[in-house]
Amino acid sequence: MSRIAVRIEPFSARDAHAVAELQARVFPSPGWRSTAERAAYFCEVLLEAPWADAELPSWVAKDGERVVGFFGVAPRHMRFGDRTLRVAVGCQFMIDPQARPGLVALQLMRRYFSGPQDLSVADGANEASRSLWQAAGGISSSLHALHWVLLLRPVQSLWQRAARGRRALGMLGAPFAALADACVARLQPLGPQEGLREAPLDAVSLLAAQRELIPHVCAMRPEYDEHGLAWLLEQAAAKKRHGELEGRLVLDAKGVVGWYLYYRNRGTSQVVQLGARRARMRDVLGCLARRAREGGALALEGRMEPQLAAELAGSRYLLENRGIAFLLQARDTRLLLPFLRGDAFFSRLEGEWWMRFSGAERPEPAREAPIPLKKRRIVLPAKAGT
Amino acid sequence: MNQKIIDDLNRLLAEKLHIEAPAPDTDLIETGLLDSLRLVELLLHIELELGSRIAIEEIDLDDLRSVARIARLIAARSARPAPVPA
Repeated sequence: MSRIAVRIEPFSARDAHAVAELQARVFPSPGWRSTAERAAYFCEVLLEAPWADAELPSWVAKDGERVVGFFGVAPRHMRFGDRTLRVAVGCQFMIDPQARPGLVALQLMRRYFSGPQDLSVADGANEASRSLWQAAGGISSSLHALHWVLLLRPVQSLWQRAARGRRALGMLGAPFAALADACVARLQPLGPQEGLREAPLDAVSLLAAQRELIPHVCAMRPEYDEHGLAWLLEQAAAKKRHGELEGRLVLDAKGVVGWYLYYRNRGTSQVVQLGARRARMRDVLGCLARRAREGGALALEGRMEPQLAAELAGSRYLLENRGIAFLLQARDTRLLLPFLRGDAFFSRLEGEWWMRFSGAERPEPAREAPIPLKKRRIVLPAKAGT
Repeated sequence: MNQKIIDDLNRLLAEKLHIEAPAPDTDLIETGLLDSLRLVELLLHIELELGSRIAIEEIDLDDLRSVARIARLIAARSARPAPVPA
């Protein structure tokens, strides 16, 4: 007879309040106004999403009636050849530090892996989760754990990074950094790209572009419909921490070349999704860089993906490893190969990155913004993108 | 044979995890000496130093509760015939 007292049960709306309380204990965040608001978000994202699937539930660990652990699961669909894959994206894995001794984390992980999904993915995991994931039979993709950074205003961006936490130093050097960047921009102007134009992106045009282009680039790809993608874009747009979500189609005379989706701000703009015809990613990135710089961004940042690494060959990007693991597991290990060889389209929009479990976040503080040149009375001839 | 494995396990617990198991039958989980992460770490050391891989997705977690139980698991695995290459 088993002596492990903790029960693992599928998450339901009845558990939402207790799970929200657990999250408040494990991940205290000032972003939430109330426990009820937290609980409502758990239900919205995990129980009411377009892909919610009773066979792929999130899991709750209970000791008696007390919730002592949680493993969030966001189901998705992906296409691989003629198969539709059920994907279980793991998120919000948490254990009550006050829980009685036990193997709650391992029990939750095992229950998650024992589900009927074809593929399990977690793209925001910490070191502890990575150890448990690997012990339970999963793998970690090192390349996906990297972030690329393209400096749009390199001097200001590097100065800001160097002066992080030292406000006086940052302010002192800002005018000189801005001046240096203005010179760099004149020497290395970004676009507009010859023969390319842009158009606003919405769920309908994004879906059409994905269906047209991704099958030619990746064997494994997300499978959306208009309703699901519209819901997802709405959710991502509500995440204000990184600024305003903006998407653009990039077109040439023949049609769609690609698209980009990013958060527009005056600091480091986060890239959510990039797509392009084969060998045209550089054009899409060029359009994005110009747009972001015109919007005041100092740098662009995105998650490294194997197919992107190939497209970036010869370009100058910074790489950062922040210890955020990208984890995979599949009973049929052939399903892991597309991820490792750059044949799977899986952006931040497909994982857990777009979720806002830290609450109603505000845009990045103004300290990230470059100081306008005119206010500093350093006036240069007007030029786009400076 | 189990006593040798028990001694090895006690050595690993002491050297790698700084845990002194009071007795081979002590419940390491109930007493809070092992949690999920430390158990995973112990399994890694067992694999590296004793050459026995325990895949936790394939076993009952209760079989990992004490030094004596883990020793029995390792002994049972080492008694199995080696897999024949396909």
